[in-house]
Amino acid sequence: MKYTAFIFALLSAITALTYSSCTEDSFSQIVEIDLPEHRPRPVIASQINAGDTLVQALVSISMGVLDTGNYVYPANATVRLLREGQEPLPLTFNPDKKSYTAPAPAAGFVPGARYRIEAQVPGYGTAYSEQIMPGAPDVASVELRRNAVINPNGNRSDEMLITIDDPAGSANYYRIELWQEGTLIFLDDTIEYNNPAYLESNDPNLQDGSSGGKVLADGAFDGTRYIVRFSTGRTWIDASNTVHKYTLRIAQITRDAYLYDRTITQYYRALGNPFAEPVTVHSNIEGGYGVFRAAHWREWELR
Amino acid sequence: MRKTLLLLLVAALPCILTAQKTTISGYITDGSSGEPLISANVFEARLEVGTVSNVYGFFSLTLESRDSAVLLFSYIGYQPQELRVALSANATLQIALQPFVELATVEVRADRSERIEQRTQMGRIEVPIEQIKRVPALLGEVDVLKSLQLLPGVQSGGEGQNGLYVRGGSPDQNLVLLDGVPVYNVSHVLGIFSVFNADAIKNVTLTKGGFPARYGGRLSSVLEINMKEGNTKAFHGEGSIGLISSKLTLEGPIIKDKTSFLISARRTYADLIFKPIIKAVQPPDQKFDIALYFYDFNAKIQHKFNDRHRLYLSAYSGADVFQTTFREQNDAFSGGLDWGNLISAARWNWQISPRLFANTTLTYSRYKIDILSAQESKFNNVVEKFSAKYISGIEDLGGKIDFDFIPNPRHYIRFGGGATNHTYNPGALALKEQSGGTTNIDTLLGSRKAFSTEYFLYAEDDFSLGALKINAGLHASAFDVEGKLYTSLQPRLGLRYLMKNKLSLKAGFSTMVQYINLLTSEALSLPTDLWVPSTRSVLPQQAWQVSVGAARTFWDEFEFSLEGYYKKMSNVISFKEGASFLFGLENDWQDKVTQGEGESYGLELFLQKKAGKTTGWIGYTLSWNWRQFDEINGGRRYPFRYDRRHDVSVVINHDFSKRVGLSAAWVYGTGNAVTLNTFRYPGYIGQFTDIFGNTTDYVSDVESGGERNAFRMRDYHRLDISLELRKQRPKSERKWVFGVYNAYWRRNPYFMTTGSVFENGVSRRVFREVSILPIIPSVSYQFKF
Repeated sequence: MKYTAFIFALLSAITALTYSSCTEDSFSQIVEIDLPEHRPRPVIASQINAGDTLVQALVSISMGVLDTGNYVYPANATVRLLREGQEPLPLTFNPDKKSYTAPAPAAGFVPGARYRIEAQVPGYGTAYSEQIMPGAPDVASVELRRNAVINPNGNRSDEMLITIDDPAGSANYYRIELWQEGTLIFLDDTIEYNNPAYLESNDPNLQDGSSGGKVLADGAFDGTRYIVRFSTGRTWIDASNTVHKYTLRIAQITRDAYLYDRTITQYYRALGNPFAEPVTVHSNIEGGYGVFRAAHWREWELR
Repeated sequence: MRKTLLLLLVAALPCILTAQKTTISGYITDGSSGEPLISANVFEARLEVGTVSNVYGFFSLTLESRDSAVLLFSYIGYQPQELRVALSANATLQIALQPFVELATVEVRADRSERIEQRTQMGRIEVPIEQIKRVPALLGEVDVLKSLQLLPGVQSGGEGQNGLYVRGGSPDQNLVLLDGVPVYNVSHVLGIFSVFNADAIKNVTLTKGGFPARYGGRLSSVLEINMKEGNTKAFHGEGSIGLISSKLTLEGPIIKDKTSFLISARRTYADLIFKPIIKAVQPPDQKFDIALYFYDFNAKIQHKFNDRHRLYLSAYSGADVFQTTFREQNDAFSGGLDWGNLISAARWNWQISPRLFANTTLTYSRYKIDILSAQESKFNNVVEKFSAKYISGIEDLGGKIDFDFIPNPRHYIRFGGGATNHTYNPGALALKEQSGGTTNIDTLLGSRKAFSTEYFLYAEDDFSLGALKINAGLHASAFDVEGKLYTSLQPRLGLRYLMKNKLSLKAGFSTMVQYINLLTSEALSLPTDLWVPSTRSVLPQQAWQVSVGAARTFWDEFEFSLEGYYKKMSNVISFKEGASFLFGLENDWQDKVTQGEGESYGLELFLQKKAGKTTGWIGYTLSWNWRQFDEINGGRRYPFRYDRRHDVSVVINHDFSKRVGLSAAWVYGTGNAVTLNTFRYPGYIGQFTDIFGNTTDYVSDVESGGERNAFRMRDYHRLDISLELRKQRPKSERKWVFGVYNAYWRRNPYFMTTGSVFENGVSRRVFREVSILPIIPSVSYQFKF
């Protein structure tokens, strides 16, 4: 057909011309959206840990999503920590850390006690939140098995088994972190390293938390003994990589800490992914935004 | 004398009171292929009574006995046939209608087929397959589901997606039937192409509302796709070669007019193109292989034992395969995923009597997905192997029987029942690890299989009371799962009143229940979407829908309908905020979902022309679509993501001559609803630790605050064009089809994101809309013989 070749050539030319002018901006454009005006509020980010010697709270002001500029960390806020509504501990602004700090109470953070943090920011109102300090996690045993498993990545790895005796009748939450110290030989260099290890597990109860840690809720094993297993996620095992010591940290955390840890992880995982379900990061601050958490840690060194 | 007359009268009384009736029944087929003609019209002009043929071409018309009657058999696109039949005794006819071969103006007859104003049922659209094949298609791939997205009341999902959102429902609320068998995954390549090969399809019917009692199990629509039966007269074939796939369909008689076959296959060939290139560039000590394709295969055999018994066997197999294999010296790695359907059906038609027809169907349908990761290595002369295989899917085994009983022209009764056994595999992970021939790990983790059985019975009658036609019925269903039995009675009612000016007013009411659910992202159809049953804690979805409307045929060519509807849904399913199912081991998927309410209402306008040199349709929908879940958006009602206030589609096919045809489709829709965060704060304090253990604190943004789906992306509109250049030979036809998708390159938004721009040296935060499909030309070569 005499027109077939002509149409073929025409389509090819259109294709070539069109795609040759493609730039990244060809597929995106700026749109003006009429957003409702945002009323800035105080933001508190703080975590109290049993045994800590320092109390720290990051206090800032929220902004509209399209507002430019840096966050404001007001130095003139009144920030204090109360136990059972009493014994207010004032925190003072530390310009180096841009946060409010104070030495921990002399009695420390008492399991079962209710702690309240308040931040009164001139012009923005008062924000506050409360947490009950959890008790120490009841861990019956911790066992390290060297080179014992093939991890989900298909690499031989060390394995850890943690036996937890979960208290009955209450909802309990845990966070697990692992640090590793070792020696790595790389291109004739010997490197002594000390950094967080990534935990790999097929246990569906173990959920990803922030900074490579894992979080665990006791819904599936409330009041019973439960063994948590995971591999250490090392990508190779050979003479060039030797882990001398693991530091395992396990905390019993509050429900707010658990929800925050899970949602912040999902939030950053979903960020930029148009196919992900929208994620609302958990916030427990009344009159503002952010999170106030409590945790009670225990630590083991394993070699 | 009086006594004699009285005796004669008494003797004649039974004859007088019981007027004799004669039933003319039989089959209406395509004279050139033997294919049954569905809903062909049979009309007796003197009494002005008639009937239509069923899915198998069977018709039955009972008339008062007299000498004879003239019956007119007609079907759109075919030459009508008049036949004088004797009415002294029941008769069985085999009517073969010949298709029009000229593209000149079609001869207009009074009764060409069942006209839209005559049908009782509302919300039902039949799109001729030949029109679907003409609709301009993405990359030249004719797609049944994308064509249906151009109908009023049917929304598409994201750009290029073939999910159907019918009157506010979600894709899992559509019952998709291929020759009566449910199809669970209707997409290839993440929803871009459907599994239906248009060359093997005879007709497509979408029912959006006013569901007759014979349908059940889904809330929002019934999509019936019937395959061709196979040409019983002569051997034919057709095929095409396109940019990304090719297909071939062959059909013909095994025993002429008795037994026929049809096979149809389609495959993409991206991997066949890439393989030689990869082989040429890879280093000699490495081996890299790739499998990247999808295929569909349909097969069918029909056999006519005699005028009363026919048997049909059909099967479909299709899959998407994405796999890579890499080997280097002692190490090998393979990974990938494949998913697909396997469907088969055996159907037996039995014309029990001139007025009673039965169809018995046995069905098997299976959908599964495998995700595999395997590794093999040799370390210190010890071979170590590891594999992880994720398996998920659903499997059905079912049977049903349907009866058509047509006692007289005023009643068309359908009744029947069936049962289906469902087996669900909501996700399991098989782990295996071997070292030096010793198996260290061989375990199965994740969700255990679940089973359920679904039963149904129905009865409906389509009957006339003068100008009023009524379809009334009842669908009863039961669902037995894990010791829990759900039951439901679902009344259905359709009314049609034909006014003197041939305008018909219609109304419909239906209730529906859905026992199985699809857990899927609203944004994208993924092969990892899970089919799960209702359980003790996840209740069956329910809906009721009322619709009213009017319909008329103008100038015997234009079908016009206007429908308003209101639909209320209960127990609809959504993920909880932040939930994700991607590649997950969902030990308890029930904890990831929440149930709530849905409400949709709107107005649909449809103008269609099915015959002539110019065909096509115009559709307009005005609609609202809401959702409410206690655990989402703080329990406040919010617009569904695909709430589209206005939706317009214009499809035109025009034949300039026998050799040149042009098609165009223009669509417009209000922008999709989207969730935008309205404020931000430093919500995350992280610690970066370098390899030496030195830590540095940092603060990251958290954005929050948006009401769910409170904003709109820009409106969507797009023009697709295709040009056909045909060459007809005595025994074959070939054509080149040139197409352009998104002809004026509208940057239709697919999703939104925040970003920064520099203007006059100052950084400004902005929202950006991202589009994905630009102008895409295509070409394909098609042939028929």
